[in-house]
Amino acid sequence: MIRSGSELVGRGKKRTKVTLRTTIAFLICVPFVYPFYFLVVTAFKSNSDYIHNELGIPHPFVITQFLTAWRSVDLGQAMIDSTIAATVSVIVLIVLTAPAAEWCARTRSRRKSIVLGIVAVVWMVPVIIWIIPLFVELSVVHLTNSDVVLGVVYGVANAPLGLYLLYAYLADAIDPQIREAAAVDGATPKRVFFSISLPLSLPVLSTVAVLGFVFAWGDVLIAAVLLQSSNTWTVPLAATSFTSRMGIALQAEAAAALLSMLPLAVLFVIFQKGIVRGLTVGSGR
Amino acid sequence: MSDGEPISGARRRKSRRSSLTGKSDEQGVHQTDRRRTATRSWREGLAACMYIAPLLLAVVVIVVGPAIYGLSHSVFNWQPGGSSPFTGVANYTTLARSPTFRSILVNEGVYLLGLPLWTLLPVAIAVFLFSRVRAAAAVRAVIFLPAVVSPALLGVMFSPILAPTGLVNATLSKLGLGFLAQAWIENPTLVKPTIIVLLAWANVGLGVAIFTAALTSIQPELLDAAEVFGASSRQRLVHVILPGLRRTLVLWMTFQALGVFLWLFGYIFTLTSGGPGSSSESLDYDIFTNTITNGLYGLGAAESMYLLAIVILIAVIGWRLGRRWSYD
Repeated sequence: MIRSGSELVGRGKKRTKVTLRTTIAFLICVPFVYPFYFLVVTAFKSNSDYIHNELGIPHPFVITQFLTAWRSVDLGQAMIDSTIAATVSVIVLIVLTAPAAEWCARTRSRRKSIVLGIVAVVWMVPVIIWIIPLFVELSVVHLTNSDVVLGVVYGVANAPLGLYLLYAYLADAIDPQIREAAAVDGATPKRVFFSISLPLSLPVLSTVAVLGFVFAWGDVLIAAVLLQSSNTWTVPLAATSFTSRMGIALQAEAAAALLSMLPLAVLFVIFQKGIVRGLTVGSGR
Repeated sequence: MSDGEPISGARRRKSRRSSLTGKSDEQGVHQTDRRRTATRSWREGLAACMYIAPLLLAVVVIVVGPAIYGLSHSVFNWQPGGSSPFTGVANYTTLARSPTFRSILVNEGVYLLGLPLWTLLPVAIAVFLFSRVRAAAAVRAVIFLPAVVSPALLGVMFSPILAPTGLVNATLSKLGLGFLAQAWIENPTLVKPTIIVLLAWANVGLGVAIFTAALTSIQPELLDAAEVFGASSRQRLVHVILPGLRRTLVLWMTFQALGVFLWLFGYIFTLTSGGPGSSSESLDYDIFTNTITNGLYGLGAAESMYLLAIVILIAVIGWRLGRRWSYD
């Protein structure tokens, strides 16, 4: 997708100009790396170290800040809750959107645009508009304060992303002639779906799964509405309840922030290309 | 970025317009197919249901249904679990008269002032990186990082950074600019500009990725032609590159303007709790506190209606601008 745009500049540029450009490119990165650097070094500093060494390397390295953050809001429990919700959401997301995307890619029916339109509504309507009434409904049947229900809601909230990414891929990558050939050979649509579409779309499925997980992990609005009791809190809720307390040392805040983002950092490192492509398509649609 | 319709080359019709609007391509072409399959249509309908019904059902039950249910209660003094008397437009007028609600609308207006910054910054960086720059892909990857971290977690992360003795102020004093140190999020006049800059920081990577994709789709022949005819690099930027980005620009600005009403909650909830006072509160945060915290569900429903109206307005403006700018 991204290729070098050497055609934008004339050939034969001077060396100094190249150096200048590289320097500017480096400077652009600084404000994006610096806060993460600060977060890491601060989280390993003792409070007394920070007073005269705000920006340098910790001396000595301590892990007490992590222990404080971990213990005072039960981040461990929050991580389990977040993992449950995010995992359920990924399963729901795939199970709901993969067949629908297959149908949209296969059908010649005009109803396809109706389906895509209805699902797009999920994107258009601000979450706060439907999550409050949904909370009211769920409290009647006592389904609030559940990480599994939260996961299901995440799965549906992310449905447009899954549907559009999978549909665009299936419509593009699987030629109608393949479907026709399979049909001539006697494969049922179900067989085509399980034996051709799903295996072929594995890379996109993994992108959808990762993005679904990332969104579920990072959300605070849906969780703050649906999870009223603190023993089901997800990571962002627990971390916020910690950082917004009075008198919390900012070193411990940094540690809490770092712990909350750790799974995302790991996923980003592994799936960087897919994430960038998915988010770009998802937002630029 | 329009999704390609799944039409094979043989079926693609000559009319370009119909494929642009993305509908009714089937009419003439598939009539024979349709006749052939007419007898099987109900079976196909049943099969289609198995594929799409779960998704549609889930969307209706979890999103569309509750949205309608909630919005319809904007004319009641909605008390879940109790009696909810009809109050007509009382919720709407109460909001319109409320100084807090008005100040929140002002807040949203101030946030919208970030739009030029949120647009120019990614365009500038995307165009710069698209010209001959070493390790451009690495730079794009690095500045994309905040897009993966959600607004909520960014809020958690920036609370130590913007703290009075945090990263920003510490750096300023290291640079001998200690007099510029501020209480960035505790000061009612500074908190909104701070959040605007934070949003610029958070969204620039996504913007660069999107604008780079748009730059890639500008035809190289166009640029070559401009170069052959002796256009300077500035002329090429103004007359070829920027016009080529127009559609994406409108899309991005619409997206960012909508974001002010759709995605501020995460930052506000984790970073400022709407404060100090209500000086950083956004509409969605206020709906949250009115309903979940204070139990004023009818009022929250009316406020949701205002929010929906604003979002639709922005979407329509963006859509019309986009249409006018794309095909002239």
